[in-house]
Amino acid sequence: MEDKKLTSPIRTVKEINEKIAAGKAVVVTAEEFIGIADEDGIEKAAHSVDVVTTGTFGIMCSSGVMFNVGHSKPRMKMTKAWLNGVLAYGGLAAVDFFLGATELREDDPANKIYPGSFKYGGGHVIEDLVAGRRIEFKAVGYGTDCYPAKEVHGYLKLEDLNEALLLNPRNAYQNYNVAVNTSDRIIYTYLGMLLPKLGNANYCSAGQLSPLLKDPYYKTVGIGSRCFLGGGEGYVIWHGTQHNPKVARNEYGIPLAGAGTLALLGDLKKMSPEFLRGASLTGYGTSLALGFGLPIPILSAEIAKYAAVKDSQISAPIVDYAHDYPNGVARNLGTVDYASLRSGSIKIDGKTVRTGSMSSYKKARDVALTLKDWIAKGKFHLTEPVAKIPGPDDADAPVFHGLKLKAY
Amino acid sequence: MTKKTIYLHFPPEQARDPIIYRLVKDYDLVVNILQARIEPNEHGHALIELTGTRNDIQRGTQYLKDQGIGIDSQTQEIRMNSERCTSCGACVGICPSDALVLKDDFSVVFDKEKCVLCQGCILACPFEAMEHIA
Repeated sequence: MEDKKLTSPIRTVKEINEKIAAGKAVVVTAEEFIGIADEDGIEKAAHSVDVVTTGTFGIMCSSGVMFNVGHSKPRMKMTKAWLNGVLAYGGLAAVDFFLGATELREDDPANKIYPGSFKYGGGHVIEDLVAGRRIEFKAVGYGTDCYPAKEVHGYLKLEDLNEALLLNPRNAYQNYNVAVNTSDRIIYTYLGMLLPKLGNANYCSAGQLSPLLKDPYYKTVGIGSRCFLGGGEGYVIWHGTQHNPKVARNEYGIPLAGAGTLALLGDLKKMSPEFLRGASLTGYGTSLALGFGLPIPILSAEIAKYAAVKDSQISAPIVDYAHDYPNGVARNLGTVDYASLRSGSIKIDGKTVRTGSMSSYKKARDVALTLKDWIAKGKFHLTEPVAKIPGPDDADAPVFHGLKLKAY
Repeated sequence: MTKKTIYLHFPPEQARDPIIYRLVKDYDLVVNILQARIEPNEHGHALIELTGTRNDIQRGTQYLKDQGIGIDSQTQEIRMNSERCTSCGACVGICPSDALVLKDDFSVVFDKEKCVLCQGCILACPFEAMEHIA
């Protein structure tokens, strides 16, 4: 197809929203769209489909909750708070806090007894809140003339908070490493348990369903994009931390390693434990698994072309997590595509290695299907971004770098 | 005929008696060694599956206890809590016996019959979906 034909506008977001309101929008999941594009060709598929929904359900350590507990009587400037024994950061206004997903209970032995089991941490508190469970809340403060109280202790539930906002400084990693272990002992990583001597390989991207792999140049997603987050609605609020769009890409525009990321915000009170779970990574720590999905408006054949990219066209680097990753050695043991990863085993140096995944493809599919259903029923309208996410051709796009520390 | 999987702990000094030979010869048991690490002067362990009559299994395990070998049959079974399972697949790459596999619809399923009680999945699961049954 000629470039001009590829980029010529087919429809606008406004027109799509009118069709959604009228119940006439054609919405399919990214998986379904791959089939349609295979059968009808990109151009026809682009004309027949208005919106493609994407999804992912994986562990996102860069997660937490901003919340406000309201004022006690007498008032109190709460400097520290514990929710079920997990410390929340209180270095903000009197009763505002941030609870991070990887924060442990203060008495957790962590890896002192190796490998630690990390049964309960911030991610689990967030899941308990969403599930409507009662949380033990304790806070301390130093007392001021206007905030005289120094301690509160009791129970509360999510409904008792004024606001509870799920915040991901980084989510939706556009592609990621496949982790293996070349050493002769088992290792415990944020990509799971890795058996010695290439005993297994773990990957984590949802591949052909993954939001940023379906809009690889951020042509439709941007600041202000409404999304599916944790079973409720959220918004893209910025590019995510470590956003690194200038990573080398293949002929389909797919980055060959971790590249773009998004920062997200959503109302925790509208989320569901079906799409939000506390996670315990043996030997590593606690975290939060989250469902996230973006709708992609098919505004041109070019956007359709990217949305139709499939697992066999998306490759990830195989990285050794025993030596290379911990030591920051930029090297890989080859690349592998997601169709091979999902087949159950891959070949590394002629050796057959079993694969496992840290993100649920089944739940990624559920996210895409739920979002499709919301849009088809007129419950979810698309937004036009108010600003762009920096792409590979933007001069001021961030380039992710290591720690820059001057000698002390 | 019944089957029982037991976990054996060998004290450092205990590696003298040919226990597998005895279990086969004296107690008429079929012994399948699923996992073993026995080094001289070290604590050793083994995961074995015994097949035989209920009575022979009982007599055979008594023989092992008499040898000073610790027997842990606490984990009789591993169970999947499907409410907790998200079908991520963190367990499937490390399951040694294909008891945990990702089906065509990308759901993780557990086949109890194939499980060798190695307990790797309990460590690997981020969502505590795999549980011991004592």
